[in-house]
Amino acid sequence: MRRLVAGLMLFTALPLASWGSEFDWLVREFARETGIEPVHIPLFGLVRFTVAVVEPAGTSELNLAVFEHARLDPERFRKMADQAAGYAWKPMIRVRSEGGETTNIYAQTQGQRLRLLIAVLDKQDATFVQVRIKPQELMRFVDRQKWKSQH
Amino acid sequence: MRWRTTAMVAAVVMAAPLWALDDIHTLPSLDKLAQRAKESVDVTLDASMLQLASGFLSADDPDEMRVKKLVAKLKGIYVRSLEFDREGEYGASDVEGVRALVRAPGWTRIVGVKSLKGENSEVYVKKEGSQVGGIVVIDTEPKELTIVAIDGPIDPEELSELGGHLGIPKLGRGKTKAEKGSSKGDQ
Repeated sequence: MRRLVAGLMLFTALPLASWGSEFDWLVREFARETGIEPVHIPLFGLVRFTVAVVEPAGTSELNLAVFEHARLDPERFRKMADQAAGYAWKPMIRVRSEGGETTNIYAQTQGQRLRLLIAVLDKQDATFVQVRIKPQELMRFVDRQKWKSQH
Repeated sequence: MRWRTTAMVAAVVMAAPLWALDDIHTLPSLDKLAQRAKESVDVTLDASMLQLASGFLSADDPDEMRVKKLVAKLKGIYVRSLEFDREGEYGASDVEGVRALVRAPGWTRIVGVKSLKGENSEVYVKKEGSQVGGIVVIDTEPKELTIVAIDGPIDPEELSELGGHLGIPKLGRGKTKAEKGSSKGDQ
């Protein structure tokens, strides 16, 4: 019986282990389907490390991938994003505008923190962002900046 | 014996849709219709998401603070908004799922506005004792369809305060004569 349970646990954990994070899967899948690699952002590793340590404006995790000159059917893009998000993320906002621009935002709650997975397809570019934020801290930061600019 | 089982199964099957549709969370998807739309907006905020999303409302802005207090009581906000290129791209049958939701026991239509231009607005409320437990707004225009569903205790008058926040379109397009007069005076 224990073996069966252990086997089942291993079986269910395998896809997660092989996929990595939903963000990574989405970026890889988009690159595979369009045949385009994400733009290299210099020193972005350092930026990610700083964000994780300093947590500026309540942001403690940041992933970003930008694809230039990438074209994909908006409906296919939405399905791909849905597939990546799976059941772990809740679809929060979907917007599709006249020019075929598509924005899909998925969210996860972790206590006081909110994790957002954002997939945006423009006419020619695609951007994927994953952040973990504390909304109230972020807004306090925004309010402070507003106050500074007014005084 | 067999007929009893059959009857029970039939009763469960018939009751299931009503049971499911009694809940605003089951606001039917308009995904298929959205594929034909020129523009579409779909906002889904359940209770946990709503509490965190309300963190994006500024504590320094009195208007946003009012909305924040209002949102604290709510269990969910769901918005489906579609805009089409041409008239007749959608029909009554496309909105049938939403209408079925508000036909369930406990729901009452409190506002129904029809115009000659085909712009129709309906507001339904779900009564829970003496309180309003939810609101559904169905706004249909020849080229536009907007559905807003709010789950939780809310006064219909507070709806206008939520307009423009958390994906809810600004409500109350019409102005009273007095408002029209004052806005002219302001200019």
